[in-house]
Formats: sequence, structure tokens, C-alpha cells
Amino acid sequence: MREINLDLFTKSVEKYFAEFNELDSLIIKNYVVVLSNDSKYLAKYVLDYTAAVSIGGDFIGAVYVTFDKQVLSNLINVILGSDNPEHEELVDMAGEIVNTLSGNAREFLGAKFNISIPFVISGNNVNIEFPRLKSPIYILPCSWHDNNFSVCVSFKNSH
Amino acid sequence: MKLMIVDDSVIIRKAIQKYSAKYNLELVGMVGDGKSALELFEKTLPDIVTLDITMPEMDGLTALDKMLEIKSDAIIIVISAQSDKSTALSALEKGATDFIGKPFNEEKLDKVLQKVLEDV
Repeated sequence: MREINLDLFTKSVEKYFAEFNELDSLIIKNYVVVLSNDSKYLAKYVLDYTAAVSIGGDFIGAVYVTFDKQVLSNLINVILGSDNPEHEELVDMAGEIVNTLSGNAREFLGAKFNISIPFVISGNNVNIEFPRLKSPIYILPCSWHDNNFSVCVSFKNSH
Repeated sequence: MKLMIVDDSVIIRKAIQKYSAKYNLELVGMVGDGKSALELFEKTLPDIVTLDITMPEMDGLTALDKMLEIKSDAIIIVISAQSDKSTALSALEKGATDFIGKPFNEEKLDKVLQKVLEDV
């Protein structure tokens, strides 16, 4: 599982930013492995907006992506050319990104890597529970134009 | 020609609206779930639909089947993050005209829209 996760989510992030000619401003750091799903260990990775999908089918687990507000705001600007997005647009952008990164994983993991409709939580002071994340959790810290986001993944075969 | 945009992301709906504005298509509506899409489709009978797959209420592939039952010559462009080959093939086998994997930029949508409009 570790080898697959390391590679495919890095590629998914790169693919996303390459689509908008923004690869040069993207930095992907080394994976962090967290051996507990206790929220106190994960809290330091929670940024302004956190979007998640549950994984089902041949796999069980979850994918979370947590963002600095400015990452979402800048991406909306790149895609739509608009400034100062509303809160609802930031929530929508976060959900769309987790959906896209997870959906792209199906290219490597197959069509039975089933993805739920995304849900999004805003606020970095909230005590987020991660019931679908089971240890080990792989966190891929990234930055884009010096603003941070992280991809958190944890899943295993369901059989 | 009439265009309908279906995606549960408002950002994606706005992006498709922006990118397609140059084609002088009549936008009949933008909706965010399969059930609403089907209702709007029956009401407006669009010529071109951009259709997401993962949506609440009714998924895009189910909506695709039902749209083509109503209007068999509708041009349906599926735009989905589920960009694996089997999902793309499934959409095309069901009668989608083309498939675009997310993420997508203006150039990618342009290529598909230009092709389908030339073929009309």
C-alpha cells in the first residue's frame, strides 16, 4: 500500500497543477507517516478548509485534503479569473479538489476504488474526528506559491 | 444550439460557462445533481450537455441513459474526475459523444467543443 500511495497521489497533485501551468510554483515534500488517528496528533496538519471523501468498493478508508484559504482562493482565480471568492466557493473548490485527486487514483487502483460525495469542514481550530482514517496515515505536505495544503490518505483492501 | 451544464461543483459549472462563452451557444441552465439535470433536460431539450458523473441524487451515467432515451441525438460530453479507462469506456458505450478527465483547462474543453460543433 505504501508504495502505491506515495506514487499515485504525488502524481495526482502534479497533474492537477500542471493542467493550469502552475507546476513551477508547486512544492511537494516527503511523506509524513502518522501512526495514530487520534485527532490530537492530526490537529497540527488541519488548515483553513478540509475536504474529505470516503473510499469504498475494493478498498476501505478515506482521503482528506486540507488547505490554507489562500490556496483555494488562488486556484479559483486561476480557473475563473475572479478575486475574493465567497466562503461557499472556497468550500466548493476544496470539495472539487479532493474529488479530482481521489478520482484520478482510479487510473492506478481500478474502477472499484469507489469515492463518496465530498464533504468539507472549515476552520483550523476545530477538533476534527477522522473515523475513516486508520493508522498508518500518510500525509503529503505541499505548498503552492508559499501557501500550504496537505493530502492525507489511509486505505486498505476491503477483502 | 442549446447548452446545459451539469456538475455538482459551482466552480466547475462557472468554468465551463466561461470557457464555452465564445461558441455562441444558448445556455439553458446549470444544475448540480442528476435528478435536476434530467428535469431540466426534459423541459429544455438541449443539443449539448456537459455532464459530471459523481453527483448527489442521481449519478451522471444513469442520467446519461435517461437523457438519450428522451433525445437520442443529444451531444453529451462527460466530464469526470473518474478518469480511469473503464469509466470513460462505459460513458462512451452508453452513448456519450466524448469524455474529458478532470482536471481540465480551457484548451481541453475547446478541442472537444470545436470537434463536436464541426461534426454537427
